Amino acid sequence: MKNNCQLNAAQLEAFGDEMYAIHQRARAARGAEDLAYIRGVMRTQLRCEIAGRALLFASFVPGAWLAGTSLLSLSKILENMEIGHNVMHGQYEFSGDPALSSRTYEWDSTCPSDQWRHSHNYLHHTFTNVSGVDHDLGYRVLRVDDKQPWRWHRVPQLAYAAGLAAVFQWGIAGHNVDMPKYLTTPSAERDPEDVRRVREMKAKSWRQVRKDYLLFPLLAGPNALAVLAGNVVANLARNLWSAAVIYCGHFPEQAQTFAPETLEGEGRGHFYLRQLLGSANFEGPRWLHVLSGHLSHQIEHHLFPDVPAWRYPALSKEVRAVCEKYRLPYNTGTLSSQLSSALRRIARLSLPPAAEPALAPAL
Amino acid sequence: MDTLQPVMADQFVESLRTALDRALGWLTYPRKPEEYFAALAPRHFGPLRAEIIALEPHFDGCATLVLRTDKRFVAHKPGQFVALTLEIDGVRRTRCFSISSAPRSARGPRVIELTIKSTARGTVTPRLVHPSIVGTTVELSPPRGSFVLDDELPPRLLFITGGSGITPVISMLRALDQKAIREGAPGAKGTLLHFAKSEREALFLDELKQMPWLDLHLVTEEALGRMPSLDEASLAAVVSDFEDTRAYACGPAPLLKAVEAAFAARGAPGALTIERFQSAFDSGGEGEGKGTVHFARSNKTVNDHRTLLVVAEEQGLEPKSGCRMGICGTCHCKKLSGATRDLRTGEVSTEANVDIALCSTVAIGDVSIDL
Repeated sequence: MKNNCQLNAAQLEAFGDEMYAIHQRARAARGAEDLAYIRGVMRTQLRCEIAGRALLFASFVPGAWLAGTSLLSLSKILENMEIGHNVMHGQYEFSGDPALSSRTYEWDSTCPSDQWRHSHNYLHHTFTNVSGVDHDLGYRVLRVDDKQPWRWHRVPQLAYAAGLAAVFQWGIAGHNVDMPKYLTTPSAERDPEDVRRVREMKAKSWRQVRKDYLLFPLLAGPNALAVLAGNVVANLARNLWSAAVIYCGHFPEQAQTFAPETLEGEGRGHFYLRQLLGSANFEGPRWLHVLSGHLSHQIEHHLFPDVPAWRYPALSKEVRAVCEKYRLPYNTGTLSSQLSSALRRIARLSLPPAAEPALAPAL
Repeated sequence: MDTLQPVMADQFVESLRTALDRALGWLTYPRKPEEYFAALAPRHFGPLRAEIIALEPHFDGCATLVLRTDKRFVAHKPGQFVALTLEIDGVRRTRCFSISSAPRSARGPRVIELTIKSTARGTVTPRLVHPSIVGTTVELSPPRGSFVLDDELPPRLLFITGGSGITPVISMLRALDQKAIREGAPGAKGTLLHFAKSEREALFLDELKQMPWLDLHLVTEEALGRMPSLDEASLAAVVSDFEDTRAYACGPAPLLKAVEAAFAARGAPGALTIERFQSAFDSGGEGEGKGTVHFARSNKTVNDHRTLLVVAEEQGLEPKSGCRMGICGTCHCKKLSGATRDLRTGEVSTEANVDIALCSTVAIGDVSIDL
């Protein structure tokens, strides 16, 4: 096992034990307050959506279009970030409420929840930032890791990053399958699992498109174009925002990536350490945390993915104290500094590596 | 032909409604339309709810809860039960209780009573019989169960109950008594053989004594000086030709076993209807390394006490799994019934129909898994 920091084996184990203790306390503390919180968010989200769509139908009234589009955007952001993502992690499953079951929740996105649970909950959260295993490292579109090979087509990847952000839900839906390979393989030779995934993705996408781009505009009659435009903008706003939050989570310059060998015989201490070193937080007012689904606390999220996300700000104090004790970095900054750091990294890696391959930053 | 037309009209309305529901579902996808209705008007949509408006203690650990149900609650048949769900520290707990009131309760429409005896180490019943429960809103299922009186009343009825097993029967007796008062006769001659610890713990005793049409036999451990028992002869001492009476029995498992044996001995098991109260720990015992694991879909039962993921895989089932350390949730699966322990938190779950993580859960009783 390769140790990515200066902790010796005993220190690493002690670090793991401390993180595990925080994790256990947080799991044990889950209760009525968490339920009240998430139900409140869900109620708000549904009301925002109803109000948003109603205002869009009345968009001939001055200001109604903007208000409706804003409310619909807010609803979509809350649903994907604070509700869908977190419910699908099983953060509220302790309650036994079927509406909060991670197994059955379906979110308002073109990415089928089942595929998300596999690529995100399992691959990304278990093998966080491990090259070649965690496809969140660039979503098969961006080169965000020195260990990913450079090719000429990487040069304009800053533009790809912007483009991906605009259609982020489609990027997430597509990254469960190696699309270029899939599309260039004759249909008879395709992996049946990939074929199944693509079929599922098409079915889900059709339902999303049918709702936002067909039925609601048609129902609006003469107002169809305004409603269509509102829905396009709301989806775009949600895509841009979620992409920005996700780029900030693992792409800032200080967030480390790991070679597959790291996983060999990895113990609890190193697992927590890899989650810590591979993730980055951003700071801001409370509403910003809520809109990011508390992924502004990506570090805490990766350490404790099954703990209700709104608890992360409180947990971050304990995590930081442990990090200081073991002299480990705790990557945080403002939203703009983290985002520009992530974009710098994407820009840097659009160019070929220098003659000496860059090493993972030594700590 | 005359009767055909209304049927077709019904079908038309039905298919129109289905089509409308479906179209509405397209608009609300991936949510269900009801979720939006419930967000706007929570009182009229979502699960059936009831408010606990009063609590009447009987003796230590036993009380009658009075609940006002919402308008959508369908009246029960005497003898039926409801599944009551309440959240304790944010965790949904569901337990089944017989309704002890008659359908037409003197307390008014939509009011039902549940008489509950708490189990000493229970998580739910001790809370329910505590005065602080008054004012709580709970969820209710519609009334369920086939432990009910026949549509056509037989001339003679025999009820055999033990302890809190009287709760579904008292609903029947109250309904019959109302009928007796209304019509001057209950329509049937009734006999109740009830077993209780003591006269003090014999539920509804004063009320039962007021039912002139009911032949009441109370057997108490206190008066007897030992655990009461029942066999063919002692039952015949109460009703000599009990095999020819319509009988209902509810109570502890040994009592029910004895009643069944008595009816079987007279070759009349069909005359008897039984209601069993069950707890997740009832069979197989409690504790690590106890009980069996049943995989419901593949119909396999094994005695294996490792994590349920390992047990399932060993049986050749292919449950989805991911990190195998309780992080990713890929192996989450529905537990249909039984007691399990979550190795991550040490918590014991006895709830039915809840999601569990197979990779970090072990059975600690007879468990049924939806696999």
